[in-house]
Amino acid sequence: MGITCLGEDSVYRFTCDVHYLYDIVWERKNMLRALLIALCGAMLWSPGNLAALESSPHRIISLAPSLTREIYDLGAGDLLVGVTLYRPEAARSKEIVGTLTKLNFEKIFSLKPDLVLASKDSNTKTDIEKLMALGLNVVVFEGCTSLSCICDEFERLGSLLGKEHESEEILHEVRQKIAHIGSSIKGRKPVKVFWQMGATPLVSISDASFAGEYIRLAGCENIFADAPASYPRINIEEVIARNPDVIITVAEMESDSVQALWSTMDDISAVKNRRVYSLNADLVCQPTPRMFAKGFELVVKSLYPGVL
Amino acid sequence: MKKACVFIFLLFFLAASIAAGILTGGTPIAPEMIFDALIHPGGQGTMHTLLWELRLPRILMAALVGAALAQSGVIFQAILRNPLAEPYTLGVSGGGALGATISIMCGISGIPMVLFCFAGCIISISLVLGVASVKNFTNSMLILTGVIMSFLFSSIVMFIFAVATSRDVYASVLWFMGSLAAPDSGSIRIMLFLVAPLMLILWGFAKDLNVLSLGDEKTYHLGIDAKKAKTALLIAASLIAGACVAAAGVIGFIGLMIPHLMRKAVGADHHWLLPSSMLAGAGFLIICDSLSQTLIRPLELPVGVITGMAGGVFFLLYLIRVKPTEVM
Repeated sequence: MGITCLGEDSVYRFTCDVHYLYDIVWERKNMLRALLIALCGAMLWSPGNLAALESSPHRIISLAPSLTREIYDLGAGDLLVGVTLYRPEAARSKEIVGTLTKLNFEKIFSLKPDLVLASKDSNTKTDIEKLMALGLNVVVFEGCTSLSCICDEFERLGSLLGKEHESEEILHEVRQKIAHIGSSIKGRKPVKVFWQMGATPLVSISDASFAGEYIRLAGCENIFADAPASYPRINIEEVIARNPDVIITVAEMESDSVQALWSTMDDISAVKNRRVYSLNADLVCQPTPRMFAKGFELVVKSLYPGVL
Repeated sequence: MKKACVFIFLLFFLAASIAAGILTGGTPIAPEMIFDALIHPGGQGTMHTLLWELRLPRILMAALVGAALAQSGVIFQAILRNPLAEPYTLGVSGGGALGATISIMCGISGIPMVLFCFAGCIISISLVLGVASVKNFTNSMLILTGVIMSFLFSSIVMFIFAVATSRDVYASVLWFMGSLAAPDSGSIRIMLFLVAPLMLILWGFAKDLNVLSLGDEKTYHLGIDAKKAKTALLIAASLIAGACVAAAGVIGFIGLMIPHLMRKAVGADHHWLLPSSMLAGAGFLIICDSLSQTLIRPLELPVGVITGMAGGVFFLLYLIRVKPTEVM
């Protein structure tokens, strides 16, 4: 704007414009801030992503059991050079680079990996930052609590390993299976579910947990869906008060002892109707697409007996 | 003469433990390759990074933390005149744990987390000293306030756990176990530039510690301002302990056991007791850390497991053999 032609009017208009602009910025301040934070976060959190795309990796270390399983599902098991102690049967022969609680940094580094895969669920931010500080190419995956997130991350893993075709095939198969189960329970009366993770203390799940997705997808109601923590500790009186139709217990605990815990609580309709089920934790707590489909099938079989 | 012998032995012990630490680690390497990387500090390659960025910082960290905890333990035992006093007696670990937990919940990591944790330690020290100052810093008041603060802080941590996501709880529990692995630059800096000089300065206070360990009444007759000296030394020793907690988590037993052992070996004169405890603590933690990496290789144990087990057994045998009057 030329200064010479600035009459009083135009100065006024100019200041109005500035105010207007200012208002726009002010209104969108939070949005801009969020965008900025997201950008910084993206830059800080996964600098490895871009680097990894340049060439497909040959020496991979997986720091999470679920990622190891997914790598085998994609048929890329031979690229793995290191895994954590709790690993699927197929990875028995691979080098162990630590447990979930402790990583052996020297071992990881000496295996000279060109890609280290970590998950926010299994690995601490501190450990991940230490690995990045060593100059390793670390890619971090989300700890997913929904099927769509699991599928997206699986797709990301597939393209990272150059296995786009395989990941697409698996996802197609998984989505079909889940759609099939979904159509077979259509029109059924939804039930109220109490999902029990542990007995002492009594722990359940909220909607913000991975297993909550099973109940949501099955069209049922998790009686602690709104709990403030993702794995809330529950008072047993509250279970009685909310009166679930089905109790699903997940753990390696003996199903007899679980039945014994609930057997005296005849007021709960799940107990009255003998609908207390035990599911194997290994089958329903693994956030990979294939395991999710399997777990979903098991859960639906308990929620709607005789359907599948 | 005996003291000098012990001192020279401890120097050799530290040297030997450093050598052992360099030669063993998370992954086996041929000694000649280690030696080659060691004499070419500016070199390149995997072996070089492995030694200079992972193994040596870890040994440095273990040495500093071990020395600091042992020295802090000596000071606490001298001032509080209690055989069970140790660096965490005044609730430093509780404050540090709370700081670490909060920073994990807020997604803070790296150097800010170390600072957060250190801030937690400082807050807990100030609270304890503030409360104890009301009762003129009597020993029982200090110890009781410390215990109460520890309870208070751990309850707050438990409260946070009750409402936090499992992922954060898990990360916090890992932190509590203590770790010297791949120390970040922040922790090393705190230890090198804050704790190491402070340790040397505290050596100069050996005479005051000798007097203070006789008890408040005698201190008064010997003309030392007990309250002032006590407060200054307690703050310094707690700062050291707090820095260790911030840098490496809560590593137990060293600050309790090493001072007792060294008192047996070189006597209660702090001119000898302080430096020998530092040397012994440094060597002991380096060895414990090597063991934690090699015992079930490639898996790693929390170093606190080793210090606790080795220290516990050793300390029990020592207590059984020693006459009751000699314990303190």
